[in-house]
Parts: sequence; structure tokens; C-alpha cells
Amino acid sequence: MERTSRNAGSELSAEPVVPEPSADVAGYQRPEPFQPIAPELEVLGERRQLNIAGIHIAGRRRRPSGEKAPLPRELSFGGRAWLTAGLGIGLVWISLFAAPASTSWWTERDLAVLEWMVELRTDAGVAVAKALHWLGSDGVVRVLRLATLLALVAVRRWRHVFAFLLAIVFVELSVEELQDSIGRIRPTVDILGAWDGPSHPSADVASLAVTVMAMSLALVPKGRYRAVAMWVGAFVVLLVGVSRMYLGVDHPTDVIVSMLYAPAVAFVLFRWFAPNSVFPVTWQLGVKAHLDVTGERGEAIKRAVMEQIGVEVLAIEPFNLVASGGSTPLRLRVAGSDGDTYLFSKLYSQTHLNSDRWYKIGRSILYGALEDEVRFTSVRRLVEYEDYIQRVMLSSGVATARPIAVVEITPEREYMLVSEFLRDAAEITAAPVTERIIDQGLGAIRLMWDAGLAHRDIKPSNVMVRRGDVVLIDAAFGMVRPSPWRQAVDLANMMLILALQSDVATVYERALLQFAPADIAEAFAATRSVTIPRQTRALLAEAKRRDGVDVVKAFQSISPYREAISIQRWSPQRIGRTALAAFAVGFIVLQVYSEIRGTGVL
Amino acid sequence: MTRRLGAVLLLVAMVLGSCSRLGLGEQTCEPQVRVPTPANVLAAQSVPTARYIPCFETIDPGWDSIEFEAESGRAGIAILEGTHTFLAAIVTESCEIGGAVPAPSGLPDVAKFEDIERVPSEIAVTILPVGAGQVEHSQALLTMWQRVEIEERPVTFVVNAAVDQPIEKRIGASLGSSPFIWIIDEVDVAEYTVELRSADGASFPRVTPAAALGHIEELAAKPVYRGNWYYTFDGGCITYIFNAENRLADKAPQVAEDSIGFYPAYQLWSRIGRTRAGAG
Repeated sequence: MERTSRNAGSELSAEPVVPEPSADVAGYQRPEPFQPIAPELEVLGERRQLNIAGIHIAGRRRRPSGEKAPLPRELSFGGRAWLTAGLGIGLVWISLFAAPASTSWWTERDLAVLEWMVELRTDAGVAVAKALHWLGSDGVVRVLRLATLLALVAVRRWRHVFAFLLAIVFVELSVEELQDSIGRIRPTVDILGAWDGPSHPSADVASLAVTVMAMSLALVPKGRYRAVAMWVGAFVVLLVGVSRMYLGVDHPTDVIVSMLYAPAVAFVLFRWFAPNSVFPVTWQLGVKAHLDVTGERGEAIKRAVMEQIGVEVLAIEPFNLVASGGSTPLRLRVAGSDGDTYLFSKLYSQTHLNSDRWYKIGRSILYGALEDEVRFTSVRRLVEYEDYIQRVMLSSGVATARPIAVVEITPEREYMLVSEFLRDAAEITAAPVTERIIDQGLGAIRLMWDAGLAHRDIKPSNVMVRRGDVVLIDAAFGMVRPSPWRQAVDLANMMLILALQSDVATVYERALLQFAPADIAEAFAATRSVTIPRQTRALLAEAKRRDGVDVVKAFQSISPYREAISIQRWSPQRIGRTALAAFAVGFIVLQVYSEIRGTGVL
Repeated sequence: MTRRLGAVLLLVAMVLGSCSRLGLGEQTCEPQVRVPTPANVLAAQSVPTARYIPCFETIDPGWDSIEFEAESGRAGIAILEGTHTFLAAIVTESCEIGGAVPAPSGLPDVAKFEDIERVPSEIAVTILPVGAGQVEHSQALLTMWQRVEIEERPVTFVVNAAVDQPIEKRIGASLGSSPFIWIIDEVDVAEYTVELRSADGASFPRVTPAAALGHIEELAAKPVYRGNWYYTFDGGCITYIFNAENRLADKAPQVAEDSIGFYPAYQLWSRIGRTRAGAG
């Protein structure tokens, strides 16, 4: 009710709707000694339902201790099996090093099996085994890998490309290292097939196994098809392994360990770098990797929103994904009193946190210590910060979307920030820009300057016009007490956007109503190509082509002269990060190059 | 989670580091009667017919690294300078010796052949006095420049004083044995100059000896020792592959003689057999 009065005149108005007591409550037989209390109190403890801004709001439910989160983070049976296999092999290897004498025990068993297989050899059997052995050869594995990479590149699945290459390089390098460390000789039976290097673990079986597992994870959609692909792959690897034993090339334990170890590595790395829940495998060209909000996650979102903010979600729709890289923006269609009613939400996961981390490292290398580039340490803090900065903007008078609540999907790993959906709003490039709009756009910057804030992402797609008023959105990069340079950049970016939709002289004239000439001079002295968002840069380039006007230079020429503000600040941390990044890039390139040439990864 | 993972990795590293007694071992020539190193066994398994496999007699701590490789059909060892392999010895079942010339092998059951391109680090210069009047001056030049070095390469001078033979014949003969000659005539003696000629046809008349040495520095071929030595024996062949340059060029053959030997693979088979019998 308090909300009603505070928001009087806005869309958010409340109409309490008191539901009828349910039949169960009405029919409840109370113990004799107590007399019924006032009938209107019968509904006490029942869910209350309100209508706020046309949205049905029901009572909320607190998740009791011990109850699973809406989308609990659990390993599947297959995942647990692979991890157990991987750990088991790790323990066997550790035991080999801790007690080298135990190798004889394994060798005795291995040779017993191999000698039995040698006794079974026939000419036809050897011919078949050699044919199967060929399936695990370098040439076949390379063709499979290249084909997979080409397919992934064709559909621009970069995460899967990375995970695929990483799995292969990791397995190749680790197997080579293990072979040299363990130094096992080849079986002491007549060897009839080709081999290379020490025997344990079997490098060829590991190469084939990691390739088919990674292919299944990268190419085949999760479900029945992937299961079939994995079983077929496992069968082929098994055939190759058995053929190698039959030919006396590998010991049984060499084959078994590789068959378990290599797929386990692929499984873990794909789960880590391209988890199916975040980067589902589909065969649609150009679909940007965002969290999949269908299936299990979609149901979890609906349940979580219902329980945590009391709103029934009817449909979840990805919204303007192209403009977002740091989160998955969604439009929630919710139960309401007047047809389609919407809420806006941004879904954040561990993947977005990692992106934010890399983005900030990249910025600190590009721009140095001008900005606060301290990374968020958890998804919870990332979403808490965005909620906070949005509220600070609002309370400072900046027109922006109203945050409603933070919804927990998976504790510590996935949260959703739900806010008001700006109905009837259009990007400023699609709206007529009048003097009123110019004043409002510049006024938003003035308000932020006065409140000690910066938006840090002023670009056309974040400046909306709704019913003749300017609204700023996406305050995720906002900052309290930013550097004066950053505030100046905000002003310049806003003036550029407004001028692109009107003209330089008008915008400059209107700006002088709210800013001093020195402020405007500072704004354009701070402007560089890197300070202008990509979308604005593209529009500026188009304007220059179309009208022959360089908008930035036009502003610089009419504002008072000021020396360009240097944005390059070098600190020991920046030097260190830059050196480290250069080293890492060089190392990876060299490693991949030498792997491709030397050990034949591809 | 990260700390736990770190602890597990640390434990694994400690176990691997402290307890590791596995591994390929060195491919040394020392016959280890009871337990041959896996490296030697793998090399023997690569070419089961070969009577010998290459091995290290000595491992010089000054070498940057050594490498070992074994696969079906071939196995070998290599010595590296930085990332450059300047000497490798590879055993195969047979080898194509081409135009290699026979050389003493030092082993009764092994034949050796050499096919080598060699440019020594020493730069030889022959001084040719045109007539008897220039012999004394030539000897004086030899004495004066005898200890000179070009980029740490010693330059050796010799005087061809057979002035009774035609000069063109002497020039041809000298360029056949040394890459550079200094021709001294009467004018050269008077002006303290020489005429520099090189085996590849370059000619610089009337230059001072110092200038001639400058031209030699530009023209002199890089010292190299490239090519193969082949050792053939019952059931196999060991090929030494040389690719040594500059300071390594002179010492590569000696390194090969001193450091690489032949391991008697035929003895190894019987020991593997015993090991296998014991295990089974």
C-alpha cells in the first residue's frame, strides 16, 4: 500500500484483491474449546493477491532450509561416472609413482592377457585387426578433427571451438608427458602393428577417444542423439583398442586407461568452458551464445519468479540479445489484468562473471588505471551491484527502468535482476529529437554529474525515448564518484548521439543551458575513438559519408580550445598485465603451432 | 573449491616429484645386466632385427639437451644446441648409403661409410709470389699476419714459393686447396698491396692486406659439418646425421666419436626374455 502512494500518478498503482477463503480453510473444524474468531480473519496467513501496474502479485514463499534451489547445480549420472573414472585413473597413476614395484604386478596381468590373444591370432584376424588399427591412425584422427573444427567455425560456435582444441591439446600434451614419466616398454610379444613412443597410456587410443568424445559434445545436441553418438564412438574406440592388443602394440591397461582418461578430460573441459546449459548445441546459424531459457532453466525461472516475487510468468522471451554480451536479457510475459503485461529481466551466470572479468582485464590493458577495473568475485555481487547502481540512479532523479527484485535461480551461480519493462519505448535513433529531448538527454548527464555518477555506456541503444521522455537504460557499468574524465566522456557521447539526430549547433546551444563552455571543451578534449561506443562510431562514420560532416571535429571547433586529455596511464599493474597477456598469447600461438607441426594435433 | 583443487594438485605434484622412480631412463651404453632402461628396450623393440642400437657413451653436461625417440621401424637419440639438433643417431633396419665413401668403423662386424660436406672454421690463405723477387716479401706478410683471426676463426697462411712453375697453374692448384689466395707482384711489393682471389671467382686487385682480410670476412663460407655417417651391420643400420654450424662444425665429428656408442641389442633380448619370464 505504501508503494501505491509513493508511485501515485505513475503506472505502478495497487488494487488489493482479497481472494475468497478456500474450501479447505472454510471447512476446517476447529477444536471445541475455541470459539471461531472474527470471520474476516479467516484469510490470515493465506496468500494475498494484489494488482500492481496491471500485474497480478501473489504472496511470496520463502525457500526453507534444505529445499533445493529452483535450478540446483547437479552432475548428471554420466558426468559423475566420467569424473569417477578420471579420479580412479589419477589414483592408479599416483600409486604407480609412489610404489614403482607395482608396475610389475600390472605387467604380469597384461602379458597374461596378451599371450592368450597371441595364441588366438590367425591370418584373417590379423588382417581385420590391422584394418581396425588404421581407424585410430594419425591420418583418420586428423581428418575427424579438421572436419569438426570446420563445422564449428562454419556455425560460429567459438566456445565449442575453444573447448574442442583445449581438450585435444590437453590430452595430447598430458599423454606425452605421462608416457615419458612412466616410461613403459611395449609388450614383450611379437608386435605386428605400428607404434610410437612408450606404451602407457596408449597415445593413439587417447587421441581417438578424446576426438570422438569432443565431437559428440561439440556437434551433437544433448539428448538421445548425443547418447547414441557417444556409444557409437565408444564402440569404435573399443574396437581400435582391442585390435591394438591383438597386434601386440599396447597392453590392455594402456588401452583401458586411455579409453577412460581422454573422454573424462573432454567431458570436464566442455563442462567448464562450454557447458550445455549455457551454450547448448543447436544447428542454427548465427545464434549468439546466451543462457538457454527453455527446458529445465525456463521452468526454474518461472518457479523462482513465482516463489520469490509472487508473479506468475507465462512466457520467457530473449530480448535484444544482440546488444548484450554481459548478461542474457529477457522479457517476461506475466499474468496481468490487461492482456500482455511484461517485466524486463537480466539473467546473470558464472559465464557472465567470467566475461566481465576478461572484459575488465582487457580494459585495464587498453586504458590503464583511469577506471575502477576491480572484478566482481561472485555472480551474486555482480547482480547486487547492478541492482544497487540502478537504484542510486533512480534516487538521483535519473530516468531509468525501476528495479523490482533479484531472483535466485542457482545459489552463487545464477541470479536474475527483474525490473520494469519500458513499454512503448524506442531507441533514440527511431524517435524524433526535439529540443525537449535534447534538454532531457543532456539533463540526465547533468543529474549524474551533480549526483557524482557516471553511466559509462552512453550509446544510442541505451538512450530510449518513451512517450516523449528520455530514459536511460542498462546502468550495469555505472559508477559512483567516477573520474572527471569519465563524466566528460559521458557528456560527449550524449552530445554526439543527440547531434546525429539533430545538428551540432542546436545541441551545443542547448548544452550551454546546463553546462559551462569549459565542460563541453573538456568533454571533447577527452573524446577519442576508443571512448566512443562502437554503435555511435558506426553512425558517425555514416554521417560523415552521407553529409561530409565530422561531428566530433564540429563540436571541437565550436567549443573553447582545450588540449587533448591523455588517457594512457601506465602503472606497474598495467605493465605487468600487458606483458603477461603478450606472453600468454605468444605461448598459446607457439604451443598450438608446435603441436600442429610436432605432435600432429591436427 | 579452488583451494581444495590446489591442495590436490600440490599433493599430486609432491608424489610425482618425490617418489618418481619410473621413467624412460637414459639410453646409456653401460650394460645394465639386471634391469635395462626402458629407453634401451624401446629402441631395441623399434628394430627387433638390429644387432646394435645407438646409445650415449657419455652425456656432456654442457649440451643444451638430448632427445630420445622410438617408434616402430626406427629409434634414435639426438643432441641439441638450443632448439637445433646438430647430431642425431638413428637405427633402422636398412639404409641407403648412396655415394658415401667407406671409412674405418673400429668394430669388426660393422662397416662405416661417410657422406659429409665440411667447411672448417679455419680460413686458409695461400700467398703466391709471382716471381722470385716477391718471395721474401711474401714470407714477411706471412709472419706479420700469421696470428690474425676473423670473427674468432683463425686464418692460416702458407707461401707457395714454386716460382719456377707458370703462375696460372699455381693459381689453379692453390685455389683447389685453399679458398683464398693473395697474389703478389712487383707493384704490390712497392705499394704494400695484394691481389685477393677467391675460389668462387671474386677478385680484388691492389688492396692492402687489411682490406683483403675484410673482403675475406665477407666472402668466407660459414663453417659447417653436414651429412651422414652410416654404420651397417647384421639386421640394421645406424645413421649419424650431422647438421653442425659455426663453432660446432669442428667438434661435431669428435663429439660423435666420443659420446655415441653402440648398445648390443642382441644381449638385451635375452634379458627382456628373462624379465618377461619372471613376470609371467
